[in-house]
Amino acid sequence: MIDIVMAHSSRLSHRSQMWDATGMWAWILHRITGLGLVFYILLHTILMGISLLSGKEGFDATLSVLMDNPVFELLDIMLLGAVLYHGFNGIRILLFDVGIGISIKSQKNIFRIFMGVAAILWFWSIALKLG
Amino acid sequence: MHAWTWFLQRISAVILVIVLGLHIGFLHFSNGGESLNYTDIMARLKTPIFISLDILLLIFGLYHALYGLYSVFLDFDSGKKEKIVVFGFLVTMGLSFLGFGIFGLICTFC
Repeated sequence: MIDIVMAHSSRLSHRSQMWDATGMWAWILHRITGLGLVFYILLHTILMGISLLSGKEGFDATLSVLMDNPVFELLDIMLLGAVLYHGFNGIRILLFDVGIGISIKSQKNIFRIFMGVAAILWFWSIALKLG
Repeated sequence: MHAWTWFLQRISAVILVIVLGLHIGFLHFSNGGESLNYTDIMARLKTPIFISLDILLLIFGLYHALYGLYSVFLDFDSGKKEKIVVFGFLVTMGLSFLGFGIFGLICTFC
């Protein structure tokens, strides 16, 4: 009986550790935003290159679609969110690499502070964009 | 080689935080939230600072993006041959996009 309770408790503890693992979710989100940004930078390079080479009319037409269409505005906001998350989490990783905030507690605190700053910048940018 | 490419990934990250921050700030928020047009962009691209900023962004952005993609690939247990093929493909892709991007920026004035 004790064995069953201990095994159950261990399973629960393992599950709890997994879902509490800030670092794991930070890493997964870093990968997802990274892959999204890879796709974006390639698309952005092609689109801006072609638009610039097509001259004033072509460039302004492309820009008006990208800037005035609500779907692209929403994508732009999501893009900025991805950039801010990837950037600030990247700075946290760099700090870890140089030995700043090595302990799990420090890591979680640094992550929370950076995400707070990123969120403030994101909401401020959205307000500026929509305002 | 992997140690150097990894180190350059970290260096490119630091540079991107600065350069991309400036790029987003100047292009999207410096005009009071109003979108820029061709004339504005051309005037900016004629200044050495803006053209340098965009070229730096292309170089380090593409390196960081494609090496990041290669790092994701390395997470899968691939053979030596596959690694060489993927690395070669990403280098070719990076150089092609860099060439086209610089061509687009500079040849606007050609």
